[in-house]
Amino acid sequence: MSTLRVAIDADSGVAPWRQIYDQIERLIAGGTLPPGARLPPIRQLARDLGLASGTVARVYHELEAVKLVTTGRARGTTVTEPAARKSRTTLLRAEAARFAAYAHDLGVDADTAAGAVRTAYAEMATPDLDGG
Amino acid sequence: MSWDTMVPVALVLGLFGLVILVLLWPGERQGRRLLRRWGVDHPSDGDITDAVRYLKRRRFWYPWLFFLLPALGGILGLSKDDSTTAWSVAWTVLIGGLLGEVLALRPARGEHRQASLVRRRVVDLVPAWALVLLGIATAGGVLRYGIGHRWVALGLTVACALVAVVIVALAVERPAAGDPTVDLVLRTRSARVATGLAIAVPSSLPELQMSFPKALVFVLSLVALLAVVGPVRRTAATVG
Repeated sequence: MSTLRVAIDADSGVAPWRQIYDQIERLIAGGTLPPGARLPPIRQLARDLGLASGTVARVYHELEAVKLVTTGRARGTTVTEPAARKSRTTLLRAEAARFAAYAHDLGVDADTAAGAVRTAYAEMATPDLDGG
Repeated sequence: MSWDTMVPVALVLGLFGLVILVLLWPGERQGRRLLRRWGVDHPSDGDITDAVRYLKRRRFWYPWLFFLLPALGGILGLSKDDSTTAWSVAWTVLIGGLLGEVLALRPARGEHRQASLVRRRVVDLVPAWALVLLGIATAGGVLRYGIGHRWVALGLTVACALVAVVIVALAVERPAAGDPTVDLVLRTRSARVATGLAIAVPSSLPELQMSFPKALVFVLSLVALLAVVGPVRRTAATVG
């Protein structure tokens, strides 16, 4: 069984984009997809998996948001060097700081703001992000 | 070729095609053999099913094409040149391959789907040297038949190259099916067979006067055909 592949299970209850995202993330974290490795074009992966292009585009967008990959016109989507990546903790703290400032401006205390985050999580259909 | 001779020829070729279909109709053994020749040493039952389906999608058309192509050539007046008869086998395999790839264009279904994360390009399926040979063989055929005013042969040479190019493009672009390794092997086989045939076709037309250079080109094109279509066991290892 080769490792440079992704699989989706329509019965898993997890959104297809999330399944692909998690698998690519694991391949990058484990070094199977080394820095500089090129991911297939969105169209190829979408067609091979029987998904809409937008679904795979979302995966690449989310991977790019956490700096795991970068997209350029000439090279396509490639895995970034580890130094260029921001950890999830860093990204989460940055977003939390923005939200905390907004909640503070509204005159809301920390418990109420945290409660709003918990409610938002509960309303989400897809599973939450892993820590890291 | 007149109607009187065309119909018997078509019937004989059709019967020949039917015999070939019965003899070559793929089963589990043929599917397993195909995969092993291309480097999939331990195919699963699902892999073999995919390989057998791949073969059936092509071979199903052979008897019909053996029957139809000469008849079609006669209707279009192409059979005055002996090109259509001489190239029936190549055209049958080419069009069978084309129809097989078109049938494989259906989107991937099933609850469990896999895809390779390796970028797929034309040169991943057909080596660059084979593509160069295809260009040289086609250009040579066009030049040769153009100078000789053999327009049917010229048209068939160009059409053959175009069909091969379409098959290669479909082999790159079509959706994946089954295991990514088996999928790549079957794509590669389609693209290489089409390219190899298109390389060999321009020089395979029988000549009344076979000079040494023509015979040499004929032999070289057959060698190229065998080199291009031969199984490449390392293909299976490139999925990653």
